[in-house]
Amino acid sequence: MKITLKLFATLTTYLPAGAHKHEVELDVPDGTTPAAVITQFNLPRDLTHLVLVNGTYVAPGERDKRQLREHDDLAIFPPIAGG
Amino acid sequence: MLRALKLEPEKCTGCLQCEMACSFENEGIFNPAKSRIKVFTFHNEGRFAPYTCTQCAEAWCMQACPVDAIVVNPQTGAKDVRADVCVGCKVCTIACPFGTINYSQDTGKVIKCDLCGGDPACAKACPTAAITYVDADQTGYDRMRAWAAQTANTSRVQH
Amino acid sequence: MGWTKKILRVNLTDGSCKSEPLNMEWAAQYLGQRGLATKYLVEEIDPKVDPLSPDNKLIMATGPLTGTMASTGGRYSVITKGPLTGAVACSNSGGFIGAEMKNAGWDMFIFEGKAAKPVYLHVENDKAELLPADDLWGKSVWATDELLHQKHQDPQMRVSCVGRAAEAGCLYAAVINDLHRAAGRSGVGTVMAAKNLKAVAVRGTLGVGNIKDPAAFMKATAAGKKVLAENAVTGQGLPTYGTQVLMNVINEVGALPSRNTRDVQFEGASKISAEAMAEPRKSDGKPNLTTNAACFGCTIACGRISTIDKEHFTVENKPEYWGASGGLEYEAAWALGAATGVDDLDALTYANFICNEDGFDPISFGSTVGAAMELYQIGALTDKETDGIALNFGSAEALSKVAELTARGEGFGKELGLGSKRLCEKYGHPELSMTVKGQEFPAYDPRGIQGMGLTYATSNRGACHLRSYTVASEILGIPEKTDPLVTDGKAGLVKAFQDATAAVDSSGLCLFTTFAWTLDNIAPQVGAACEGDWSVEKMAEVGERVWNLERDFNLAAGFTGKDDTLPQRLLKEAAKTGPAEGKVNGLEKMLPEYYELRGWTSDGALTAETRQRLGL
Repeated sequence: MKITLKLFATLTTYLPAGAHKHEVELDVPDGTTPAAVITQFNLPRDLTHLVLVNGTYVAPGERDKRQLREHDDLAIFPPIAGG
Repeated sequence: MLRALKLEPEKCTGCLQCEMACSFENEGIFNPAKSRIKVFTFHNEGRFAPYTCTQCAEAWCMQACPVDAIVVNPQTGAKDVRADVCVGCKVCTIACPFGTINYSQDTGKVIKCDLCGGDPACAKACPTAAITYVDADQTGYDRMRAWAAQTANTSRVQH
Repeated sequence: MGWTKKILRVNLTDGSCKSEPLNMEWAAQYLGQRGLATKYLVEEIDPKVDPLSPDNKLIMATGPLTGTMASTGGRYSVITKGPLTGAVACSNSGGFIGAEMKNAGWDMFIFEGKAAKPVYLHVENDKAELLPADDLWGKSVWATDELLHQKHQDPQMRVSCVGRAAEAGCLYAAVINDLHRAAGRSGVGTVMAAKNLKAVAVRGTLGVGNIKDPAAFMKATAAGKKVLAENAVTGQGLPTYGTQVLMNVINEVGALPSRNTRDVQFEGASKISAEAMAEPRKSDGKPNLTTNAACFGCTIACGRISTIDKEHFTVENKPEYWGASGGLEYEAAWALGAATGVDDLDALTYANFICNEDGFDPISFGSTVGAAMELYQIGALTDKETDGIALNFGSAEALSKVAELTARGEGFGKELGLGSKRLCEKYGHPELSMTVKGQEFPAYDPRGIQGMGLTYATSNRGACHLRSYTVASEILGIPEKTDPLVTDGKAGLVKAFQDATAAVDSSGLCLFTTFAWTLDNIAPQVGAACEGDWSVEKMAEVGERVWNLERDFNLAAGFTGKDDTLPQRLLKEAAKTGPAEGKVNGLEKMLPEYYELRGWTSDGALTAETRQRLGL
């Protein structure tokens, strides 16, 4: 199935070739979890602070349980703030 | 081994922690106006640059002083001002090509960087390592290393 | 001690500048800066005063840690009754002038009355005098700064001043210091101009030495700096990306108010984000962002210094805008961009430069332009009123043009300068104004971040994010993650953030330290500098006291609980996309609980008990 992976700020450098700006379309097996994608792209755990599926936060304990669905947006941010 | 202050303007953010640390160490008060190190802002270019005495080997200030009030500190290599000898004539401030020795109205003497006796407060206070205190003979070491890294970018295994 | 214990009282009517001792009894209750200056204001003016009359006062105030080695200890605030809102106005700025005031030996400048002709205040340590400013009147902030430095032949002098927007009566004019730092909100600059006070120029060489326990202070501040350096946000995120790193995340979570808040997501967000500011552009291969920059004493250095593409239409043949200057912060990028639908980074940077050059708040300005664009779209505004400018959502040309007009108070810019509330009322659609108590709200949609609805509704200076930044918890997980889509627990969260923020704003430190620090890190620094008890509990109590003092002033000024509300759009029109799709803000669920937690009546007034508990 196809999902969109979006990586921001310092994580942008972990995007694979073929990515446009912050995002890339991925073909992943059915039932893939955010944690599996994080592992696949070697994202440092301390930098995967905000994990959002379609904009909704997935808590650390849920990241290896929540199953992604076709056309889901997975967006990951390091610890950031502003205002 | 003598150490020297190494200034890297490209790392400076213009926060003035160094100026406060300098004045606090030397005057017991937070007062950038009394700092021996100064940070300059070049607003239109988006640049900041810390600047202070480089402790010249044949220091103009030392050579110009008519009363021998400026002496080499053998421990640090700094050119120290002996306040008890300085008469405040300001000839050194004219002689120094870099402007880093200045008259203090409060004391009637001149003041300049003395490397805090070998433990410079500015370097300790700098949050971005724009000011460091390093081997005086190797102030170019990091820069050499950075360029060296660019030359050695091909893995040996491939040859 | 921390304080210099000296106030400079400047009577603009009779031209006198007098030194007076700081009221230390009040300092023990209100600390400094925001809290202490508000106490002076409340004691000295009639809450019903016309903000632009000579009877209003304007206070520039530092905190006890301003001018010290505490990280970010360079803040000052401008406090007055605000003309945009009619409420207490208190705008906080960094840069360098706050520390300069302290170095000159002053905790505060209090301005009263009105000068017969334009003047500026020149302060050199103990010496303070009002000098004629006829030659500065009509000049921009940038020109004024340059002229004053030339005139006094002192490159180390620091200047706060107002630009042409304030002179022209723009109700959200700012006081700009050090060229591009702003006491930005609520029209504090408008009050300054109404007093015929063009600028304040300060040089201080006395230093800040009144530290209670210098050794303990150096230890406490060093410990604080270590925490900031080791924290991922304050040590890496903010210096690298600045506040603009929020653009993409707030858009992702569906809380980026777009096109006058009709939408909660903006398809152009990534083009105006921090990441976009770092990308090399085609013309010269340089990115928009030149460097990051620090305010006085700040070890975070989140400030942006940017350039505009020389080939961009906004600056073609205008070399005066080709140099580097203060770049886009998140709130400004949102207001000038998402709120207007403009995704042209250079146009936003240009509009931001104009806001700095002539001193007006980009949040209120951008939001007002967004409202004007909606009025234009529905035909309530036509080319006749807009001086022929096609005010279409997304038009970078229109944005740039109206920024120039507002800066100078010319044509339609004069109307935009009155803010969206007055604009929308005049053209028959008050419901299209995205304001609370007359002030435009910033870059977080309360349908997608519920706590921000209560934050805006109850903010003492009108809608604002800097009074209780619950975004930190609801979105960013600082100090801990809460669900942005629920109202449960948000009343307590908002109150806690409001009180802590008021304490930080009274200290001389920057609120951004609180992404890494809590009052546990701040209290020891204040305690080592200042005589008296400055425990965590005392700091929180001071914050609560300040909050209630401000509230009490607003109630006396004529506000009631009915003003603690939100634009109908946020309460009635559901978010169309994103996680908050189908949701409105649940203010009615949070507000009664908030009043109760505050110890206020169900109408939002202070009870006698609360008053007594806080010594009001």
